[in-house]
Amino acid sequence: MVERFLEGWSVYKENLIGKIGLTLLVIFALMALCSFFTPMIDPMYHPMTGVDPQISHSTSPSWRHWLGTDFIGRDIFCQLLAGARIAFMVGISAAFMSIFLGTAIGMIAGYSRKFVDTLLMRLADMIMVMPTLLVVLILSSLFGQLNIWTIVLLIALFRWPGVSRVIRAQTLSLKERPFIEAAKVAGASHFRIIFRHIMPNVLPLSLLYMTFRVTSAIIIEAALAFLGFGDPSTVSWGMMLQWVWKTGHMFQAPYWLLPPGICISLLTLSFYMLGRAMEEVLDPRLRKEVVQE
Amino acid sequence: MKEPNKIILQLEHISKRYRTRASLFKGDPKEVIALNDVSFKIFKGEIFGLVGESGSGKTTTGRLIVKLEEPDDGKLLLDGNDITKIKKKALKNFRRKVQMIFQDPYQSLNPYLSVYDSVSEPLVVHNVGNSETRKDMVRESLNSVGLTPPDDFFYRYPHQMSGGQRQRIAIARAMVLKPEFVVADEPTSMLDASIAIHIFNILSDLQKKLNVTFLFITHSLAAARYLCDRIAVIYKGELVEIGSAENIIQNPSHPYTRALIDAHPRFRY
Amino acid sequence: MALLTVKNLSVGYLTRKGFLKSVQGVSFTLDQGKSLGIVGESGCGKTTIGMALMGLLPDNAAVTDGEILFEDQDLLKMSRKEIRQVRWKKIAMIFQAAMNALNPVHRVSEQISEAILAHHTDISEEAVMKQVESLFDLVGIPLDRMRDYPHQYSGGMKQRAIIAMALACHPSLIIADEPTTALDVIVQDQILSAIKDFQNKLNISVIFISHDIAVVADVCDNIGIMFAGQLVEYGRIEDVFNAPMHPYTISLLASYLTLDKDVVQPDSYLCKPPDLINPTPGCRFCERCTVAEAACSLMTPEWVEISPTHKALCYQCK
Repeated sequence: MVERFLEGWSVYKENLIGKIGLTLLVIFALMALCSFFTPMIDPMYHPMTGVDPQISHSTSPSWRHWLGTDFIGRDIFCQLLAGARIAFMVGISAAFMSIFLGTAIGMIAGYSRKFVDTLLMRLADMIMVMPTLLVVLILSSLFGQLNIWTIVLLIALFRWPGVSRVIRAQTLSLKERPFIEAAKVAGASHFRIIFRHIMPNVLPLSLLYMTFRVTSAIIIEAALAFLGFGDPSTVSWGMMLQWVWKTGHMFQAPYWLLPPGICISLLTLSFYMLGRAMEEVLDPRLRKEVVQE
Repeated sequence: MKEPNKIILQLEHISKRYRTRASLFKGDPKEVIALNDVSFKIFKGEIFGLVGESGSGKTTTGRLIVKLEEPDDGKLLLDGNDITKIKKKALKNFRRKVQMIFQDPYQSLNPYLSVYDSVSEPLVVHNVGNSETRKDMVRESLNSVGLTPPDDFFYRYPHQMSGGQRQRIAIARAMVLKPEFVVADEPTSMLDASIAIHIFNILSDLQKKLNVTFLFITHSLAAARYLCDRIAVIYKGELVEIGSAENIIQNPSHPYTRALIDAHPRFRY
Repeated sequence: MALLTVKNLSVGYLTRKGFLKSVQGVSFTLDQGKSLGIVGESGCGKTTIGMALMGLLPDNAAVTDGEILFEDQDLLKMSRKEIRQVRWKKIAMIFQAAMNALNPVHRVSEQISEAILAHHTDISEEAVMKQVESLFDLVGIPLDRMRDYPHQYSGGMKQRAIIAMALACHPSLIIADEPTTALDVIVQDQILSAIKDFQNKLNISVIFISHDIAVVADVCDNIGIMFAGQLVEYGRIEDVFNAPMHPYTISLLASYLTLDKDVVQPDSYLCKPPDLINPTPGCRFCERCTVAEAACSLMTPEWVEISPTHKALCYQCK
């Protein structure tokens, strides 16, 4: 398996988009890591509570505050770092959960007989047509401000259908393949066939879709926060944008407005690039080289 | 050692039909008769050949015997026991005794499982042995198909090996539980002609060593002649002739058999 | 004048693991109206030769040496535009598993007429239909099946349709790459008869590529045996089959199953395919050879002429 990974890595390395995406991701990951350390340097660098004793309004970038301060004197750069951490957390958790659900349901639907398959897929259809953002907005207005983890769970619950369709299609075609029949003839149970034989063959596809799901999860969370329905106790980029807007600094403080927006775009772009490069690794037909006759 | 008086597998009046789906424009769904009232017996320890062209029903017969599909009519008997409609535990026991070697070596191995994992799969499924004894059993199986030294192959993956090697692994997997009856469905049709004979020799050796009975499905009479004791010729879902290999080829009685013999490329040199 | 002369052709593929020398130093000639069989196991380079002749090598392939003289013009020196003039009009190919090359959403007659129209722009629709009809006749497909879709055809009929497509522009050379694999014996026999038929009627040359020596025996005048990218025996079919010289040829003939003769047991089979990235300097068949001597693995083998129409690449044949 390690050899396979290395082989995949050598294909990945040659893809320019993949390299750019990966570099950006590493930068953001470092930012997220740093966010743990900044409050330790000085308590005023805490993104939520770190108010600079000397400043109590929005200021432009300076040596003390690399990106300036927000409307109550908190350091914007630290908020940006914290936002990176939240973005990774939300993006990856939500994506992971939706992929987990989507893959399991997709495999079971694809492998099962018509009744179970139809049931699961109609359920998927019903959820898929619901506008995620709208429903979460309605829920939060009904139940008050939502905790970040609740938001993550909701995103996962609304996003699994897309994945499950793809995994189901893959499972349907795998089901007929001789090595699955060979497993049946050997006496393997349905459970074993799904999880030992089908799953490894669909996992690459799942992982690929995970990168795209991260993108949408980050954007949904940012949108929710921007509209004021996010978790007010967490500092995310969307939240930062909400503060800029709500406090009327949209046109006066570009140092505050621009960084979160750019970060959202760049991070989602980098995951997307990662996904595209991975696609080339996973589907040999997309590769630029052809081996043997 | 052949036991000409002991019947290991028997098909009695087996029929199988496939229904094509009704489409918007075509009206009633059509029925394709894959097998029509097929009956024959296979004796313990022999290599029995089933020869026919594609669409003749030979592959369907193999699939019915390993219970990948169910017949619509008729009975299937293993060692005298009716196995036509067995399920669950009885079915699992059946699977220990009856195995299959598939046609396409490029598709019959899970690309994500190592050779060891693939070959030991039947052992794991039937809870045979522990991790040490399983390794020995896999070694024995790999040795018997000519993949030596076996340990070299344990952690390789299918894509690292040639078609001939993959088919040997598929055979090792089918034989690891030392089954009584094995269906070999055109095991060499996706391999080069020069490798085919080596695969046949492996099957023949396995038959002698383990006294396993083989059903060899093929479209080539010449291959059946080389490997089999008795041959049955199947055409459009019906058995047209059955007899000893030499007899069928020297004195064919059915016109289809004669056509098959005439169509075989002859070596004039 | 020979229709096709291949001199010292060498082709390789650039792969992740290195430069794979798929074909090395292959030379042969083919006269108009004659047929040549190229036989070898998978990976020996035979399909690459076919692709090189058609100018259809993939992007990562490189011709490192040699010339391909077709009607006295070197195909390797032609520009893409010039090759397109030659391809299909003068040299046509029947690919491996060609039955899958038919577009399932177009009628078969349409696909064949498309092949004609692609290479002749000044032909009337009527004339095209007439030509399609005559082609169907030639390959033995009943005219009332002309307007069917590919899925309505059997495997054998699809293969005949592919042959008709190859014949559409009246080429002087057809390269058939495993045209009967995946077909049953009876259908195979019919296809081979059809090929022999049009070869005689239209005086077309055929290069028959296969891993099955039996199939080639029926159809070809000359035969070339390939192993690990090299031609190891070459000559008239009677000469090679009656007196095979190269150990590989002998083992190929021994392992072929017939209905009449008994099989000579082949020697045990070494599972490792030959290394084409760093091939041994000596004879490449050494490892599997039963009569190999120490010198065989060190010295590059040379051609030994057994007769004016038969040669083999082996020291042991002297």
